[in-house]
Order: sequence, then structure tokens, then C-alpha cells
Amino acid sequence: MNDSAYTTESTAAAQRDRDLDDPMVTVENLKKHFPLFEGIFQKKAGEVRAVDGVSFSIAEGETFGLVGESGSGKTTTGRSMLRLTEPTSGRVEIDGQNVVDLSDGELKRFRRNMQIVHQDPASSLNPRHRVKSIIEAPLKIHDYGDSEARLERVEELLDMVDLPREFMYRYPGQLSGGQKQRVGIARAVALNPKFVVLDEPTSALDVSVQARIINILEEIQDEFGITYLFITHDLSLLKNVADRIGVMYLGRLVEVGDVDSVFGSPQHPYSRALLSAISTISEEDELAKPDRITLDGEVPDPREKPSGCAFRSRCAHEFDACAVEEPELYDRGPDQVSRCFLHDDRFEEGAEWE
Amino acid sequence: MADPILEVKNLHVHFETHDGTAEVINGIDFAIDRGETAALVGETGCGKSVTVKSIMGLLPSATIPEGEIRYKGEDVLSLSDAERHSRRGKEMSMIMQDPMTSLNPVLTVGEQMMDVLKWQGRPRLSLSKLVRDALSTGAKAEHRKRAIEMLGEVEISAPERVFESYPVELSGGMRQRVLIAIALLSEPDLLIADEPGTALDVTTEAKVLDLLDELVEERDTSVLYITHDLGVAREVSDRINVMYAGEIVEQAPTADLFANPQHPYTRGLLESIPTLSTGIGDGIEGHLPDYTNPPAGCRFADRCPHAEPDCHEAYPYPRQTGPDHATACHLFDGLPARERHESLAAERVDIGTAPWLSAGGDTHSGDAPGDISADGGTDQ
Ligand SMILES: Nc1ncnc2c1ncn2[C@@H]1O[C@H](COP(=O)(O)OP(=O)(O)OP(=O)(O)O)[C@@H](O)[C@H]1O
Ligand SMILES: Nc1ncnc2c1ncn2[C@@H]1O[C@H](COP(=O)(O)OP(=O)(O)OP(=O)(O)O)[C@@H](O)[C@H]1O
Ligand code: SF4
Ligand code: SF4
Ligand SMILES: [Mg+2]
Ligand SMILES: [Mg+2]
Repeated sequence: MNDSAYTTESTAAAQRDRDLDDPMVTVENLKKHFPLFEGIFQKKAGEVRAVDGVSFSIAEGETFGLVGESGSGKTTTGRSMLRLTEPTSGRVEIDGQNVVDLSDGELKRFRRNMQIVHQDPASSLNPRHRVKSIIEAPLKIHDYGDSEARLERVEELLDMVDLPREFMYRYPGQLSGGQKQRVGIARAVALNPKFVVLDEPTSALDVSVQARIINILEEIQDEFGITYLFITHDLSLLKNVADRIGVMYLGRLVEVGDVDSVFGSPQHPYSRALLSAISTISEEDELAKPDRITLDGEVPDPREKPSGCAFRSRCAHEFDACAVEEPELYDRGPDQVSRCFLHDDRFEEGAEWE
Repeated sequence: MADPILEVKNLHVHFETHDGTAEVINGIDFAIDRGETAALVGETGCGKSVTVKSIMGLLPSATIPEGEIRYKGEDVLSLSDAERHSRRGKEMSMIMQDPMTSLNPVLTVGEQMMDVLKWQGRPRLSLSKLVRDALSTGAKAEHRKRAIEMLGEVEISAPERVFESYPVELSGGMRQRVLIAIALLSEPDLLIADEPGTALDVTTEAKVLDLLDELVEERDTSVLYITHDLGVAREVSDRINVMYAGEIVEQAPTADLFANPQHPYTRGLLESIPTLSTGIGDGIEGHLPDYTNPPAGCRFADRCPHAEPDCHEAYPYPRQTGPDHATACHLFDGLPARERHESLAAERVDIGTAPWLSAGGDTHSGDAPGDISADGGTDQ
């Protein structure tokens, strides 16, 4: 072996394997099905399989990004992992603890380690509480210092999320959309938890404030080794914050891999379509991204998923096999898997798919 | 502005807060023509929602010490609450920034949509249950069909299921589209959309924007579109109002604003648009000023790379810098855009001209956004 590039690469891969051998977060075959009821007797009339067998792991101090169209099950995945909604089945291990098995009391204690920034900041803040007591709540529950220490911490957190300290005395109704979102972030990181679900945490923020908040999130990640699940539909943002990403479609992950591989060479037809739609303003970027692929058809109703590959109804490459069974995840690189029959040697259709 | 549907003149909005009076909106003026889409763009906390909530009369805790809001020529600030209420819906309709707080959690999406169709333009007197009972079956079936169609138009893939769902049973992006559908159902003459695309991916957002466009074309609807993203504003609007700390610092037709951005804040915003190649960027350094103790002069002075001592003292009233372009910055000459500033204009503050415009100044022109230097290539 003459070139050092090879060694570096394999060392990096080995490092990754080690980290992922002992991940901070492991999700195995997670499912969340919501029953649908009908009529005055509320008879069960089917179900929405919002999350339908999702598996991935996140190494300590890493950021795992989750993308996918609206309604694909991103929020439900995050919320089920923290048991804010009870998962139907599956296994979620956070810091060596299977969260799904915890009793209510244990769960309450364990919450110190896992927090969430909700997607809808307005409805996640109690309108009758001042900002101070909202941010202080987790500190109080988990016996963080005396009232003076807590006040100090609240001030520190407000500084961190770029809000004036006087905002402590405001009610959520007196804040702008982006200000509420930052109160939600301050509350989530108050105790330096081990794992945080960030559900569209900067959607209401302009570039300047977003950049500062992302920097802060990264700083505390480095300092305390916090692990993030970062949900966003903003692909340019994801490219910059995530170490690894998962692409979600109708409750399933269709592609998982390290961010450079997935952005550099997306393997699944759905990932390719998603990436081609990134909006850009500069011409350079227009050149740098793949030609725009428009997705035909609509996202199917999650009650009536197509047989075989769920993406089939919108895939330009569909062929016979796709209707018969669902593809497994195929290895497409050292850290990249994709759920598509085009990767299968048994079929000639995949021949020109690189 | 031949026939504006909405005119806002010298609007001031204040709030009482724990640490004193917050002078949030400080004398803004703008107008929207019939059939026009205007954008209001600015950073988080700059006063976009406060502006539009004052137009809708949705700010009970605010005081409006000065200003006029004219809708179809009528001063809405002098109307009673009931009169203003009767103008919501058919006349003016608003897509609120917080989907969950503006949807009723105990009614299904369908019930909320049927209400809109039933009570279009009429004062709301009874509970929604009575409303539903009062509907004749024929009209009801038709309304249902129309509502489900509208859900489909905003790209909701299972419209029947969503119609029967409660808001908590929907994803964030679905809720946002339900709000859009409800606002469109009432076929308003003026549609105010407060950050309607934040929970949507680009493809869906683009389709929703097309839908708005169609509506504008078909019904001559006027739209006020609020966003913190200049890129989105560029796509949707005919005209842009750039807001900073409760003031409109620049207004111009969209093409003009991008070809010739003038205010240092606008230019900062343009420079900080993230690209795939540059990463998330840093944005503009610094913070919004404290509204309870706002600066006397230019509210942007603390963050402006071109600030001179005079900027901190003298109010940079908006001035006419082109036939349809106004900029509130001392770097620009021009007659005051508003009559009320004529006396201020008498004592012009001279801080020179914008460096990116000064002749022969080649130090900045290279990286100025939207730069259209005419002498490219000729070196003298
Ligand atoms: N409590 C619930 N009851 C019934 N269905 C639900 C419930 N919560 C979510 N769903 C359904 O599950 C699916 C996935 O929703 P989820 O909120 O996870 O989507 P998402 O990927 O976060 O989308 P978005 O980007 O729009 O936020 C949707 O079809 C939604 O309607
Ligand atoms: N009821 C209120 N009492 C006191 N201050 C308020 C009130 N409502 C808004 N403000 C303040 O007015 C300023 C402008 O708020 P506004 O909601 O208009 O911002 P925005 O431009 O819509 O921002 P965002 O993009 O974050 O939604 C903010 O600093 C906010 O804290
Ligand atoms: S399995 Fe078939 S339908 Fe599914 S993504 Fe691959 S080619 Fe398309
Ligand atoms: S008035 Fe002065 S401080 Fe304000 S934007 Fe213009 S140059 Fe900058
Ligand atoms: Mg969501
Ligand atoms: Mg707002």
C-alpha cells in the first residue's frame, strides 16, 4: 500500500466502527401506529403507520440528521424515542438504557438525560408561565442548585440563545416566533442532557440568529459530548450540521449514511430527488447540484401504502420486482446503505445506476 | 400606488413590558395595490408579526399612539371590534405564524373549514355546533367537497383523513397547510401570510406559492407575505419592504431591490444568504437594539459597517432614491419619501456617499451583492 490516503480512510472507518459499536443512541425496528376511529361508536377503522420499523444508531457527541417530506414520520420518530408518545413496538437504547422498558418513575428521572426542542414552539410553552419559570422547570425537577444558582443558570441560558435577560419576566405571548423558539432551545439544554431531539429548531430564525444558535449547539456538543437527533427539511442546513443522516419516506428509512457520502453521491432515487430540489440563490450552487428531478404524483396516504417498495408510486425507475416485495437496505459504501432494488445484482435494471 | 387596497401610514405600536414601554414599531409607511403581492422581510424580532397583527386588530395589549391603517380607503383603527371582526374572512384573512395556537384543538379540521364556508363574511354569532346543525344537507355536502378539494390543492396527500382529524393528529407541515387552506377558502380580498412556509420543504412550499399566485391571478387578491428569507421574498413578491427594528429601511419593486440594494442592512441580508458552497454563514454581526430604550438616530447604527457618529444622532428618515425606491439611510440623497420629514430634511446630514457607489472605488465593488458596476473591464 503506497498511498497514505488509504490508511487514513480505513482508520477513519475503524474509528467510526468503534464509535458505532458502542453508540449513545440505538433505535431498533421502532414502530408507532396511530389507530383511526370512525363513527359514533369510534370503531377502529385502520391505522396510520407513522413510523414503521426504523433503525439507526448515533455515536456519542454526533449529530444524526433526519430528513424527509412533511408527514413522513420525523417528529413521531423523535417523540417515540423519548416516549412522549408511546411507541407501538421496538427498542430505543439511550446511554445503555432501554427507554421503552422504563417505568413511569424511572422515566421521569431519566428525562434529565433526554430532552426535546419541539417543532411548534408556541404550543410547547405554557402561555401562563413567565420565561424564567419555563426555563427553570427542568432545573427544579432535577434539583439543580438553589434558587440563586437557578437564576444564574437561566441568565446564562438566555445569553446563550441570544435573548436579553429581561425577557425572563415576559410571557410567551409577548415574544416573537423566533424568540419563542429560542426559549424552547434554552429549556432543552438547561441540564446539559446526554441526548437532545432538535425538531426543526431554527425554522423561525433568520440566517444571522440561526448561525449563532447552531454555533452554540455545536459548542455545547463539543464541551459536554451531547448527542443530537436533528430534524429539518432544510437540506443546506443539514449538510452543515449533521455527521450522518437518514432519509425518511412514509415511516421508513430509505437511505442512511455519513453526510458527505449521501450528499456527494445519493443512492436512493428518493434521496436524489430530494437533493435536487434544494433552493439556491447563487449560480455556482445551481451548477454544483444535480439536475432538478421533479417527483411525480403525491405522497401516498400512510393508511394505504403501496405493496413492495413504498416509493414505487412516484419512482421513475420502477420495475417489476419493486411491486413484489420491499427492498432491504443494501450496502453502498463504507457508511452508506440504501433501500432500493436497483442496487441488487439479480436485476439488470440496476446496471446503469451508479 | 394608483389604487391601494391597504395603506399603512406613520404607524407606531408600543407595548408595556416589565422593563418599560417597548417602542416596537416606529413610524412605518407602506401600501399594497390591488392584485399585488408585497413582502415584509426582516430578522426575527424586527416587528413583522406586530405590524400585521395591528392591521388585523389582533393586539389587545398594544397601544397605537400614532398612525393610520386604511383598508379600501377606510380607517380601520377607528372601527369597533365588532366591525373589524366582520371584515375578517371575506375581506381580510390571515395565516398566522403559530399553526397550533390558531387552530381550535377541540374541533376537527373539517369542522373548522365548514365554519369558514358557512360564515363567510357574516358576523359569527353562534357556536360551531349550531352552525353545523343549521347547514342544510345539500350545502353541507358541497362545502365538504370544496374543503377537501382545497386540502388537496395545498398538497395534502390524504385530504379525507385530514378533514376528519383533530389538529394534534397532524404533522407540523400538515397543520401549516391546513391554515393556508382555511385562509384560501374564505377567498379574501387581502391575504396576510405570516411565515406560511417555515414547516414546508422547498418542493411543497413552491407548490403552495404557485397556488397563491393562481389565486392572485384569478381573483385579483392582494397578498402581504411575511418572511425572514429574502430568497423566498424574491420568488413571491412584486414589491419588498425591508424591515429592521420596527422601521422600514428600504422599499422597492422586487427586481429593483435585487438589482440595486441600497440600505446597508439590505445588503447585509443579501450577503448572508447561505449557499451550499459557503455553509450556513455568519449573518450580520450584532443584535437588535432594545425597544425599551431605542437609539435616537439610526436603529441599525450599532451594526452598520458604514456608521458615522452622525448616524447615532440623526434619524435617517426614508428618502426617495429613485422613482419607486425609498431608503432610510444617510448615505443616500433624495427628497424625503414622507411629507412629515420635510423639516428634518432641511438639515441634511453629510456622511458621504455609499462606498460601493463612489466612482473609481474598486475596493468594495468586487464582493458587493447584486453589484452592477458598469465599468467592468476598463481600467483607468
Ligand atoms: N396523534 C396522532 N394521531 C394520529 N395520527 C398522527 C398523530 N401524530 C402524527 N400522526 C400522523 O403521522 C404521520 C407522521 O407525522 P409526523 O408529525 O411524524 O410527520 P413529520 O415527518 O414530522 O412531518 P412535518 O415535516 O410536516 O413535521 C402524519 O400522517 C400524521 O398525520
Ligand atoms: N405583546 C407584546 N408585549 C411586549 N413585546 C412584544 C409583544 N409582542 C411582540 N413584542 C416584541 O416586539 C418585537 C417584534 O415582535 P414580532 O413578533 O413582530 O417579531 P417578528 O418580526 O414577527 O419576528 P419573528 O420572525 O421571530 O416572528 C419583539 O422583540 C417582541 O418581543
Ligand atoms: S425499489 Fe424500485 S420503486 Fe423502489 S426506489 Fe428502487 S427502483 Fe424505485
Ligand atoms: S444611516 Fe448610517 S448607520 Fe444607518 S444604515 Fe445608513 S450608514 Fe449605516
Ligand atoms: Mg414534524
Ligand atoms: Mg413573527
